[in-house]
Amino acid sequence: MNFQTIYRASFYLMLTFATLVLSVDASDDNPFAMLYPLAVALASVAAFSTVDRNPRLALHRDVASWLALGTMVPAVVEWSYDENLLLLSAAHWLVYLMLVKMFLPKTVEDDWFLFLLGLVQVLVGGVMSQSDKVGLVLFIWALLALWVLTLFALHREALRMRIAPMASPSGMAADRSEPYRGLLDWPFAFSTARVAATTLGLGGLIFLATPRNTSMNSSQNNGLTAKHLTGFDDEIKLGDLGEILENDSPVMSIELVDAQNHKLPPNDLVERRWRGVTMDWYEDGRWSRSRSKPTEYSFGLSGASGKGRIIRQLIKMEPTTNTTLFGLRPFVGYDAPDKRFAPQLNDADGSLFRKPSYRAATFDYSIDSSELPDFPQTGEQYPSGSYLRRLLSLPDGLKKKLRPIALAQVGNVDAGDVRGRVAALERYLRDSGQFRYSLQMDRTDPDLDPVEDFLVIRKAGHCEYFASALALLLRSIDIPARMINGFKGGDENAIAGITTVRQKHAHSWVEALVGRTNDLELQPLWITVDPTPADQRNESVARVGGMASNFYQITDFIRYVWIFYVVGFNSERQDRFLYAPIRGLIREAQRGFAIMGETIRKLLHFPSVESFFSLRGFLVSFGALLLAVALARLGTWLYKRLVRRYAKGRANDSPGMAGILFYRRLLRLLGEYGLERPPAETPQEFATRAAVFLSGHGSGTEAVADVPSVVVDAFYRIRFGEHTIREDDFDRVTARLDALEAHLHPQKA
Amino acid sequence: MPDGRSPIRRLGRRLAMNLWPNQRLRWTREGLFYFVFWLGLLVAGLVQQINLILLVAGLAAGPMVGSIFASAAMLRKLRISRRIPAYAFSGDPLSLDYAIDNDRRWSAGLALILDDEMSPVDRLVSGPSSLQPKAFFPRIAGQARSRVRWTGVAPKRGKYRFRSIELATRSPFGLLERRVSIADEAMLTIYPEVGQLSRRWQQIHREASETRRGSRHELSTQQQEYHGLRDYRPGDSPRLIHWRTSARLGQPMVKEFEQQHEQDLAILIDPWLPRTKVLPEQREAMEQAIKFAATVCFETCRHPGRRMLLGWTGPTPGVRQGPASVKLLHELLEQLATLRPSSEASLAGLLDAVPSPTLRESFLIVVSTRPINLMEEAEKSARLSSASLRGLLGRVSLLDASKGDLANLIQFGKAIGAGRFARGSGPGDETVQASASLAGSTAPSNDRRASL
Repeated sequence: MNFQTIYRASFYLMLTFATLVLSVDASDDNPFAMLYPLAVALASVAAFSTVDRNPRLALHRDVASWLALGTMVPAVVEWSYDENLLLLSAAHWLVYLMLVKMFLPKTVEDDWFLFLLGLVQVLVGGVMSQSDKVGLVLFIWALLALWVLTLFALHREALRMRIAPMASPSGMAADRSEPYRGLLDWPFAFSTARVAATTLGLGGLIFLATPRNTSMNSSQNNGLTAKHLTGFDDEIKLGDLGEILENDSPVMSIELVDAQNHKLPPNDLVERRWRGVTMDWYEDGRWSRSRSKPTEYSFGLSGASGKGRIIRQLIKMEPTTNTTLFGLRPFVGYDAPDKRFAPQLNDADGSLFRKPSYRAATFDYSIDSSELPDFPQTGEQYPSGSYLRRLLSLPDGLKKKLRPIALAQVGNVDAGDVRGRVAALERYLRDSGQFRYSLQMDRTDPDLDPVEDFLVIRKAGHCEYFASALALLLRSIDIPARMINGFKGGDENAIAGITTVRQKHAHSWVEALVGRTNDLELQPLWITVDPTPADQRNESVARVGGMASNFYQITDFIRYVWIFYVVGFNSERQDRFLYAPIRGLIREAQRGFAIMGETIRKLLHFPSVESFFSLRGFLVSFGALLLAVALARLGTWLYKRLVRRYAKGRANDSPGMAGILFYRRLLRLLGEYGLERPPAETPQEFATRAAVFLSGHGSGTEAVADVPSVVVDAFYRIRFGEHTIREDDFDRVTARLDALEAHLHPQKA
Repeated sequence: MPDGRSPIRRLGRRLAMNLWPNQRLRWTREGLFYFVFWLGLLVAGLVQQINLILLVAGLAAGPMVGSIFASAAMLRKLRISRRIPAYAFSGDPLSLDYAIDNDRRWSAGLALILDDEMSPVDRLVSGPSSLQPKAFFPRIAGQARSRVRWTGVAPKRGKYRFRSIELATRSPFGLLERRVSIADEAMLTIYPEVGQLSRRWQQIHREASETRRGSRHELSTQQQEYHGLRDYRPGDSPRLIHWRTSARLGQPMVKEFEQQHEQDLAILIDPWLPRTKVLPEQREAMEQAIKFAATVCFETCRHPGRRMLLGWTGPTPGVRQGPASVKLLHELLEQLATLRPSSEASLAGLLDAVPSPTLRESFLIVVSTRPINLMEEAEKSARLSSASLRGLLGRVSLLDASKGDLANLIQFGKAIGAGRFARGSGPGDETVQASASLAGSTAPSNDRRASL
């Protein structure tokens, strides 16, 4: 394929992706947004077929200028339609300009201009939205941009070669449209891929190392759209949770480690429940939580013994408007990198939350949980009288209907066996086979309470119905109970080593109060009961997601990196993942050097002269001598290298004459005098000629006319006769040369 | 460049390379714009703390940083060789061959620009005379060689030195240019421009020969070289008839001698220029004199059989002489190529240096850049007696270039230049041509190689 074709096609593809970055996320709100990249793609094909092949088909410059002016009209109209869309309108204007520019003949400057237009579109797209879709398109654009920059550089060099008066290889002049014949081969592909990988890697490093502002950590939204999690508000309508049960979007990413931060395998992941919001008041098919402001309770991560095995959850919440936080109950410790926004515990209902003032895109926190099932929730207070009444409250009419149902199930269980009664009711709902799991939420009788409808008539529903039914059945027999909304299970990602919890993993279950601890703290003992048939629920969860769920390993990993390490990369993460390890490494190195220094000091320490005359003294002195010799050799070698290198440019490379300094001196003296030996003249002939001139010049040089012959004779004896010059001969020749120099350059002499 | 065997040597070599780097890295114009734009992007990202802008800035920095390494990789394992002619005539086309061997196994060398410089050893002639040959190598596949021929016009006469070759690459993004300088010294002698002698010259030469015949008659057959027999033609001297062969063949046959009809020639050049305030016309006159001498030498040495002498004035007058041959021609042209002007030149000194037989018999052409009074110069000479001067005067032609005496003796033109090129100033094949036409030329073309 022709180089120009590849270059131009790649260029247009890159521009199309640049516009796609701008439009890909806007298409959720505006279906026409995708028309922009489509228009760019179509215009690319048209321009490629017309103006790029035949410049005569280009737009006339005047027409193009008017069109460029005209492009402001749709941009202004768009802006006037919605003044909040100033940035987007401006970006669309760039698209219009780009479309016009495409149909003009392109110089190098034009190509730079088009490249810049595309880049600005990417930047605007990035400012407006930083979703993972934008990230994916941006990544493709970046790859294309690198490829295009490579081709563009070659294109420019080829153009320079045509303009400048340079030589070109034979055959090139015949086909100047193809300057890089055979360019596209595997080696080129590999080297380009290598350069792209290096470049992106370096770019990534620079991105990671760029300083971040610490004050921005908790306030910068970073362009990510915060989602609202239905079912996790202060008040929910029964059945609301069903909305998100069919939603595949991630909610949080969890990394499980132990108290020493060693990675834990995600065993029994399906059974883990990430506790969220506590619902304690039921009325007319609505659950709500206590509105009275409870005492907030904060503490750091656990580490204390006696709490059983600790599971530490390093949780990264995706952007959400909810303040509820999630974790495995019982929590024995929790923390966040930004202490100002550490999770807090509602000591009345045992739920975790973050401060509403936190507005950053993502939220990182850590939870320590005990694996002891009956371990009381640290910091949680035993319900006060009013709160206990709230936990037992039930509409009168409903209580009358539910109590018989409950009693029928717990009739044979002793009234004092609260756990037994709770378990009996759980089994009734979960294992009796009378109730089935369904996401269909149609009420058969609108006049009935939804829970009654579920228990008596429909007998099918999702977890929220099961949990509501159990909580109300327990209350009907005077067992305090509350409904918990949270998540159960998650998708394990082996690549990232995380568990991704999605909205479809939302789940409801029940906590029943079964007593209080016997210690001085008298903490409440809540047991977790889950009446939802697990198998049916798991099947339902597995169905959500369809084909896309097959690629979760990859997509979740990319999304994880994008959300938390690109878009949500802040000074705290930078410090944790970049600077803290470097500091640790430096500390380790310092420690290592200190140990090494200490060892050397000990080795060299001789308390007395006598102690030096020992095996250690011998070894130390021997080693020191070896080191000194090595250093001396290294120094000598370096010195010689440098001297040789320095002298290389000045050395005469005529090997035969190198040693005959006096002959060279003669040549130099006569050369300065204007008498030079041509290559065709032998030294002897030259000497004769020089003698003639010196004797015939009449300026007092007659006395030294014999010097050339004397020197050349000596030179011949040494050079060709392989004789060694005697010292007195050497002195004689030198003296004659001095005399010659004195005659030729009296001032110098 | 072979790698050192021991790691210490390699380390030392690297150290030395770092101390005296032969590589340079500089921004291109586009690269500077790119950098400024990137800086703006970075500042915007830092101020706004928008990670996506910072990401784009980071990615945009990648090409700049990556270029540092990629350009170094592009120049690795390349060997450059330059092939230059042994000589060239000023004003003639000059061809220089450059070749790059890519010793890399797979990756090709792309868009490599080779810069060379040919600078005069001694600035003999005014005006710019340096040449900067440039060659573009679009693609050199791995384990392959690419050749490029640079063709230009040979500069003014003199010795030129090639010092080092610079290989530049802007790969891979055109933002930074890396240049590596490879020491590869070579010398090239540019001979003076050679023209064509006019009819006027032929006339002067003929008149001088006739004068000589008139005085000395013909040379005896002992002075002539026997060549062979041929048919008798009307006008042949009966003394040349080879009677024995004529009798045997039944028709008159004459002996043919390669007769030295042309007299030995001595051209004495006086490149005089005033010490100060040299006028351009004077300098041009001197160059014209040298070109004329070169042309005469060229024409004379093409026909073997005569003796040729070139003498020049100066602080130390010099003489070159010998039977006309290509070897002598090269010597004479080389001498003329490096001939320096002198303000202390004296023709008398030169006449003293000229061998006596030449003064007695040869036809002398004295080319000067100033008016010369031969009588005065002869009086100053220690060698010339009044008798020999009288004999000499009839065989001397005095030409003053400053008065335009040479204008109607020599012609320069494109056609002449093209013909001269065939006599040979190109590397490779041109050198072969030169050897064929200037038989006996032993000057080899330079072929140097350098590795990166």
